[in-house]
Amino acid sequence: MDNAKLILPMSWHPDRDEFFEALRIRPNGLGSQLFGKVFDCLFVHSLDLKREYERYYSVEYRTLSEYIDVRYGEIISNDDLEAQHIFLVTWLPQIMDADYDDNKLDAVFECLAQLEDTHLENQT
Amino acid sequence: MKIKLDFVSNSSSTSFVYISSEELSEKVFLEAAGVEPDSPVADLFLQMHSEICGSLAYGQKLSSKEDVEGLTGTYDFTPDVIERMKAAIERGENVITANLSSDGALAESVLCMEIFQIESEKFFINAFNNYW
Repeated sequence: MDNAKLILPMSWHPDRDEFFEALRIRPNGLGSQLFGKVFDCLFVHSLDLKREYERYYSVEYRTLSEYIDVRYGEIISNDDLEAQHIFLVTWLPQIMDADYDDNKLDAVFECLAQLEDTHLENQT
Repeated sequence: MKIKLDFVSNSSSTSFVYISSEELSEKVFLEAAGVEPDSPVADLFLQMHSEICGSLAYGQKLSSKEDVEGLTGTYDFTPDVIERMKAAIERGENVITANLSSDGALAESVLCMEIFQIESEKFFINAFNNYW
């Protein structure tokens, strides 16, 4: 069973430029170098569980919820199951390490929440 | 401070060089790092600026080409960077080498373990030595 650091349900389709813009970071600098790694760990190197289920496991497991519960030991809410993507993140860079008092985990999550809200508003 | 259990780490320090005619201001550093002052992560980079300035205060100022020649073969700086340091000394710019520690707060630790170079009109920092 993969070692899950976190599970990230998102309907916003990951876009590196939008991510940097939300963080108010310009490309090609130290900021984009460090937070580019954050983007990679969350959205490039992660596993999209919804896509995995639909491609490979929809016959073996009755529902997406059951697949995630049995395969990864995680219970996902019905609201989160409706997201376009459910990213399984297995590693986080040091600046997202919760063991450091000044980590940027919350700041990044707030940005992602804003991106998600904007995406959902544009859908309606 | 948080205490992490079941964790083993080798602390280390790495070298970097700062070349400039002036002191490094927060505004100039943020601009060069590509981080807007109102960024939600700007405080991390302001801490990085503080750590770099703190390291430079205890760093070694190189005053002559001979000082720079002494770095050749130490694997701290690439030949290109060494040539750049010599050229900077000829122009009368400050060339300071300093260290960053992985044991420090998050900002310093990240800088210590990151391979990076920052180049702007006002300063140059090279930390290619920071490989793990």
